[in-house]
Amino acid sequence: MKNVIALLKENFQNLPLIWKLSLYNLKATYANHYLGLLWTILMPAAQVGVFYVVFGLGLRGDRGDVQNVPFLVYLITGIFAFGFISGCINAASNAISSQINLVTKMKFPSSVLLSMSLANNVITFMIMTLIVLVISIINGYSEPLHYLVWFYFMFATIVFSYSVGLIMSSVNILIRDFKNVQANVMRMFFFVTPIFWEPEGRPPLMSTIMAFNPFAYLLMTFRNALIFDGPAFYGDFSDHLYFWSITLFLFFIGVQVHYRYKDRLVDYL
Amino acid sequence: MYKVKVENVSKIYDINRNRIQKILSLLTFGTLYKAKPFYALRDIDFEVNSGDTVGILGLNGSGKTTLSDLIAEATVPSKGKIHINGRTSLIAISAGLNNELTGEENIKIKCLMHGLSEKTIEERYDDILEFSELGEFIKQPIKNYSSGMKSRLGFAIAIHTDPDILIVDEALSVGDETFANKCIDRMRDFQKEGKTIFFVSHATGQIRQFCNKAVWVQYGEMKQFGDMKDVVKNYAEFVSQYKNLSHDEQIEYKDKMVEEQMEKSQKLKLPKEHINMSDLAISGVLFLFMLFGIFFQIYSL
Repeated sequence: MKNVIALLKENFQNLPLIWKLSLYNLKATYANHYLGLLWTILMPAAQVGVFYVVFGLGLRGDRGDVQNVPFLVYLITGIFAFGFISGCINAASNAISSQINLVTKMKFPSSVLLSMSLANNVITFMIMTLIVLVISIINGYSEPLHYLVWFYFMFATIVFSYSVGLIMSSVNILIRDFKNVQANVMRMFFFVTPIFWEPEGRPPLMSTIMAFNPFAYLLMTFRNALIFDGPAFYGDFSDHLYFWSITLFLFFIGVQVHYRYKDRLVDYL
Repeated sequence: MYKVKVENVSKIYDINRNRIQKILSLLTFGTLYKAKPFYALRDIDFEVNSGDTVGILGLNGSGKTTLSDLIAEATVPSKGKIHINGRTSLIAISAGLNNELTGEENIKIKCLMHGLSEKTIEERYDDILEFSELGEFIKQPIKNYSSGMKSRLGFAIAIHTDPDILIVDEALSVGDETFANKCIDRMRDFQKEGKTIFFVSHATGQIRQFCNKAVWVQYGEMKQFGDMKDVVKNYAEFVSQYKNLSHDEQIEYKDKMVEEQMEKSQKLKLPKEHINMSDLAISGVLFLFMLFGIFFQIYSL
């Protein structure tokens, strides 16, 4: 419990620093690109293009809209939101190993590195959310009040990916093989999460997998908030309980792992 | 009143490379694990007052850099304690700079990380630029810099972050003499302000110039700590003796010392980790809660 408090304190004390440093990092990432920040949109846009041709026009055939939105909008929200979630998890998992050069020679709390990497993703995702929001408002897909659930989505995603990141950032350094395992697990989740397929009309196996897939919970929360005309929140009580009980456990374990290894990680590199 | 107090500090590295044991250790929180400890530093004990300039002397691989990292709080000792009154700043060769960013951005990032406010950074930026002598190159990414330019920038940033304790780890050996002299002048100013400086080197020249105390580290152990003149005299004697040995004898001597260091390490035990019972209880409760969540989800399907 002492560690949890220390971690929260570290992060809240350094909140302005996290924000400023991640802005600089973002600048650095795209410093040598002519198109700069535009790439954060262009890359998912290219992915949306390919998936739309393959699944929207090719494999899926003409099945019309998903709930109240065209398939293209459904696909865009799926790819943007999943890209954000998996981006957060990957960035947090590599936060320590990729930024170790900057901190090996000074006193700097390494849990702040994780927050910094998440903040980077949050900034780019804001742009994508804005695009989705504009589409949604123009077409009147969702109710204005439902848009507020977006903040719940952000909170849940950040806590979840931070928890996974706390564990994986240490484990990836201690046992390098896990980097490959993680990449494969994330790819698997890409296919079992309803990004380019809709849950309705699928075999019951798919909805069972969905119920136990935290990514699906987050993704559908995002869609319910921004584009669907149904209820503001996705899922029922059991879905919320499932997601938060897992996240809470991961977070607590993550904090313990992080504090146990943070001072020793340099020795393992 | 001391500025830096190093109390029986040891730094232990685990050189056991057995992968299966490592994973076991990870899963069982260290209970099923036989470590192979190696003391990089053993029972270092000294106290430094403000205004002192301490030279850290030693051959290659004797633990100088480990000691300077510990004093800078970049790493944590395995045993013992280091008490530090004030803020530290470590200058090592080109360490801690982001290669993709320009010099300008690195100055801002490093200063932010050292806890300076944006306003202060704005005020000091010109001073840093002037000191680093980089001129127009400050707008270039660090990866295009020469090693001398990097160390100049590193030095310029470090001295402008108001450290109370400055640790210089062989950073002056890269720059040219004029710059080294400028740094030494600047360190003299620090001395006058009553700040503490640690100066790491394997050569006695610069230490003779401006240190008043010295630590001699030899294969992980503190051979001597005290007045600079005594320590440097003994160290120089040792080095000249060592140099007089033939090449084979030098290697033999080194091997013998490292073997001794290994042997001494084996006898000592790593500090036992204690498992925090309340944390264990909380994780148990949370684990049960998670199981409840999973079963509730299965039930409600």
